[in-house]
Amino acid sequence: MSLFIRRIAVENFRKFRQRQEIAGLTDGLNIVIENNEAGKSTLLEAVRAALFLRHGSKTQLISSFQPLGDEVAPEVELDFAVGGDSYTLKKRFIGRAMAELSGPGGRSQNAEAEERLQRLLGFETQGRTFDSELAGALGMLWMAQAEALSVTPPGGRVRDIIGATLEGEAGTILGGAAFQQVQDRVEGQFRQFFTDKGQIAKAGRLGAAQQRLAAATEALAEAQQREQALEAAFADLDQARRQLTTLRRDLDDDQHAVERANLEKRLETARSAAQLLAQRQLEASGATTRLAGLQDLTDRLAQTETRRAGADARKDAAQAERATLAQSFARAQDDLAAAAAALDDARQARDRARTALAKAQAQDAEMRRREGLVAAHARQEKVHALEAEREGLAAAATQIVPAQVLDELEAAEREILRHRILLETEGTHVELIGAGASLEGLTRDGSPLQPGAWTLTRETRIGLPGGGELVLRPPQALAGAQAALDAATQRHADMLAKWSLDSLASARARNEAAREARRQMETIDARVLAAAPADRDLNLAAGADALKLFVAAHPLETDAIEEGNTLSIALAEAQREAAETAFARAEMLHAQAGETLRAAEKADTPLAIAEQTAANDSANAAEDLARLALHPDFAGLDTALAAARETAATAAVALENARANASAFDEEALHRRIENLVARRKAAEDARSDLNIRIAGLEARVESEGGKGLAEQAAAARDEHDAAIAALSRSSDEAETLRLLRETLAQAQAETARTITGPVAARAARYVGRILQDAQPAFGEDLGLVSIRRGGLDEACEHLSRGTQEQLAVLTRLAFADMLLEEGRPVSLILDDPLVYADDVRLDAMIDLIAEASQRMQVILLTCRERAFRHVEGNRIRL
Amino acid sequence: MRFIHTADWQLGKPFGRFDAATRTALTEARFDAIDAIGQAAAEHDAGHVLVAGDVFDTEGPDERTVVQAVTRMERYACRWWLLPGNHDFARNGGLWDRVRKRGVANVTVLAEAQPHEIADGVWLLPAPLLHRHTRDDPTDAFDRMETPGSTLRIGLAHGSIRDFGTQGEAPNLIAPDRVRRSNLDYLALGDWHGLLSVDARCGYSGTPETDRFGRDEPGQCLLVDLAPGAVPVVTPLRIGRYQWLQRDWSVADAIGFAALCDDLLAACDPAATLLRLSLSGIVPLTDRVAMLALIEDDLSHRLRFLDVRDGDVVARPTEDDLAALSTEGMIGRAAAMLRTKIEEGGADAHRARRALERLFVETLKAQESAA
Repeated sequence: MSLFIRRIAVENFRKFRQRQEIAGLTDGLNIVIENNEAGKSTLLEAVRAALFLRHGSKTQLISSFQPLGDEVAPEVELDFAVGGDSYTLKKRFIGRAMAELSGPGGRSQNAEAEERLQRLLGFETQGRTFDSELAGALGMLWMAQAEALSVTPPGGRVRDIIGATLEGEAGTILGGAAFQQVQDRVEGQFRQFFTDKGQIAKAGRLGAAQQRLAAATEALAEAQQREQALEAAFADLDQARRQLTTLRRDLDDDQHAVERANLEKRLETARSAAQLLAQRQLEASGATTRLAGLQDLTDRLAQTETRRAGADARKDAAQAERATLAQSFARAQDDLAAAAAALDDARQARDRARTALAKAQAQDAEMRRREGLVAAHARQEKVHALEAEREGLAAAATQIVPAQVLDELEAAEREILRHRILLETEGTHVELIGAGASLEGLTRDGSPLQPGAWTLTRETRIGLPGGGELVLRPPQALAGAQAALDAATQRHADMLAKWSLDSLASARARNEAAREARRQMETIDARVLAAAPADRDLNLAAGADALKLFVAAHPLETDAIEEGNTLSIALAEAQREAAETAFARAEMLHAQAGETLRAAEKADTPLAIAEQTAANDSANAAEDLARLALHPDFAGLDTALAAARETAATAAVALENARANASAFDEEALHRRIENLVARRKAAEDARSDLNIRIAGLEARVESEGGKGLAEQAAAARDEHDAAIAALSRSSDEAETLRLLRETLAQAQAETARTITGPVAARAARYVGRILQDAQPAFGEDLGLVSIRRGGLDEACEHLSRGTQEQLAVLTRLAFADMLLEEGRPVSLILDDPLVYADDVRLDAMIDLIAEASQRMQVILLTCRERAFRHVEGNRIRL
Repeated sequence: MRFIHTADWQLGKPFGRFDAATRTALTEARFDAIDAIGQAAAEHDAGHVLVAGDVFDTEGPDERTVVQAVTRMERYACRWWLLPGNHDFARNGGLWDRVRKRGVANVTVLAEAQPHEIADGVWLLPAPLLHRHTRDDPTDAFDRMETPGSTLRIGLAHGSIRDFGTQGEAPNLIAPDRVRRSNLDYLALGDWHGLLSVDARCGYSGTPETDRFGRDEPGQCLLVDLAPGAVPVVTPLRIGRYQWLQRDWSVADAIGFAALCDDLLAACDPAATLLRLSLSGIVPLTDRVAMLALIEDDLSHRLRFLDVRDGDVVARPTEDDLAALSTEGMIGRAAAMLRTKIEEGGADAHRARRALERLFVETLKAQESAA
């Protein structure tokens, strides 16, 4: 049965300070579309407060109902119908708090009213805050804003209500006491083996069994190892004993001694054989030496004889050759003597020719000297004449005036002239006119003054006739000029006087005459030189002086020159030439003869040497032969040689035999074998000693370890190991059995839960299928939606999209509402701003579902989304 | 000539698969067997005890084992002739040197194949084993032994009789006609742990204290009377304390099982009995649980030792069983799931059966505690 709310009135409740009444709510779908903050949510809160909150409650929630800043008493009035009965509820909080419920059972107030209400609607007393779980079915179905966004299982009370129904439906119970007991016992037993997480508990029975096995395995390994070590010691001991036995047998065996004695004996034999061999070697060596000596003697004899014969032959040959050579030599000597005589003759002839030539030449030279002497005397005459001529010219040539004097004269004349002209032009012209008596008494500078004119150039004192004097003084310059003129005139005169000249012109003439004389002198000199040439024959140098000296020294010879018997030079020359040639040829012939003689001498030298050498050799050989003849065996050499040969052969055979005997007994090898024998025995003895020590050690070990009962311990360890394996197997078996039982119980529980939740799922599936095609909802034991099965896959709810989760949250509530409705429980649906995440298609589908639900129960839809719900048919209500 | 023929004492055998208490008891029992033999010898006036090998379980027993052995033998007047067997073969510096070092006068170690004249004209020809395994017949040595003036020749050996009880090439094989070949009056053999007579002059005494399942009879030794030219008179004497029983029972229900248990317990000395019980058959689940209870709560405590192998018991739930399980929907469901697994067979079937039984047991316990 549905719960129908007919009227809601609020006053002093949150934003509703004034009384606000909403009436006319119908059975089906009521839609309140208002903007935000219009008070939609407050309305739902007021309804919840009226029904579920105790009027006397003083919680913070209650206080929050008061309008902001007002100390007033919030009041809610509700008209509703349940199961066809109408009720009116009035509740006031804070201040004069009261509750009043009027209905078919009359009017009840306060606590009674509260109790009645609780029974009627099936909810529990709320605590400090509002808990929708305590509010029962309505708490689940009245979905405040943002409350139904995710899928949550219904509260305990609702679950009980629904569960009871379902268990009846499924014919089984969930969470029965017997099952719980069995499960607990099995769990307890399971925990003896495993941890919470199903791991093997270390301290548990299975863990203990595992540890026992591990320990047993370890112990077994150790025991076996120790046992094996002991067994190995036994084996070693056994082997060592066997070795020792063998060794002892070997050592005790007198084979060794026999062998050694045998070897010693053989060694002795070997030694004597070796001695014999040495002796034989000595003998053989002696025989061989003698044979060799004799053989050598024979050989030497033969060789010496051969040598002597050879030397003799060589000497004869050399002598023969020398004889031949001596003849040639004699011939050469004769030739040489002849050549020498011829050479001597030629030399004399040559000398004679040379003397004749010299004589001729001397005569010729004397004649030419004398001629030269005459000529020289003649040239001397000529030179004398020339020198006299030159003497005359020489005086003139020395009268020359030097050029400088000429220049000075010239300069003095020019100066005189210049000063004179200056005086004449610049001087005072004085003229005395008159004639004699008038001019008496007049003197000039003491000298009478003669009429005429003059130029006054210096102070002139004119003596006047009365005795007075007229002093005429020219200007100072003129006085200087007069002085200079005087000086120049004096100098000029001095120079002329010095050079005995009249004038400059005479000086020049004199110089001209002097130069002419000099030229003539030079000509004479050249003529003198030409008249006195050099004469080599006379050993006379060129020049007049040489000539003069020669002439002075060589007066003209008058004695006659020896004439006759003198050949002409040319003839003498020709004779000498012929004599020279003859001499040269004779010289050549002589040299050739000498050469031939020397060659002959040279050829003889080696031959002489060869001859001498051969003679020496021969002599030596003869000496050797004489020496050899002195050898004792010389006499019967052949016989001795034959005997020696035989002896040597015999000795060789004996030696060979001795050698064979000796080699049969290799002393070294015997020594080695004896040493080996000794070493082997020593080694065996050492080994025996080692073995004895080893055996003693092993025996000690075997004795000490053997007493420890290792084999028994190992057997025990093996048994324990087997037992541990068996125990572990049993434990594992039991543990696995328990695990299987535990799992089976859990599975049975889960399946049962599924059986029970089946009907919920079936109802929900109808709705879920409307928005999610072919999706099957699966519910948990707590009736919470666990997953959605789609296309064979399970999707956990928490992994679905928010929109889908919200839609599923509303849908499962619808399903529960249906079931509660079937149960006859008072249900209604209030949705405050629902489906905010739904897309248009889903939203339409959801609205359709809600509209369908409103056929069965009252639905109040509070929304601000005018457009989304515009088309929905229902009772429109405005605040 | 009267003597006791025994063998295979296996002293120091560890019995590691048993729990500690059983292990100790079994170990001690083997030592006690020496006393029992000594007493039997005294009782029957036998001067010699011939032990045909495997006196010790290993060649390297614990010193305590050795000391226990010789000190116990020392207590009795008879002379003990100990032959090394394959378990305790003779070797230098080994076990037998240790025994000899104890210097017990009436104990002779026969570690060499040398005949001993143990009484006037009575020669003992031992064939000690010098290795764990020998390809040669150890009794070949008998042919080379001289027994001057012998009236009786007694062979003592350890190993299998060729072509007898063994197949293929087993080691330590003894010629089957050894008695005739070596002109023996009696050949005392060891190695076979059960009592076995090969012929009138040759046999195995078996172990005096049984040491494994498969032989129900308790351990014995043989009292042998020999006289020249006469057939030996061989009398088995019980020595063993413990009886090792092995039973294979096919069971159909808990009542039948209980009856079998009663019969068994009546026929044996439970405190001296070790039982290996193999069960098979198809039983109702409730009966199975009852059987388990009987085994775990009663039988195992009565016996010295119990080893139950019930892998072949199939517990099939009856309608009642199922009803009992179905009291709880979820328990019934779990049971059904396990049954399915059992029916499917395969590797998990066995485990599932165990799990089902466990579930059943736990359910019953839950019901009992609820009641």
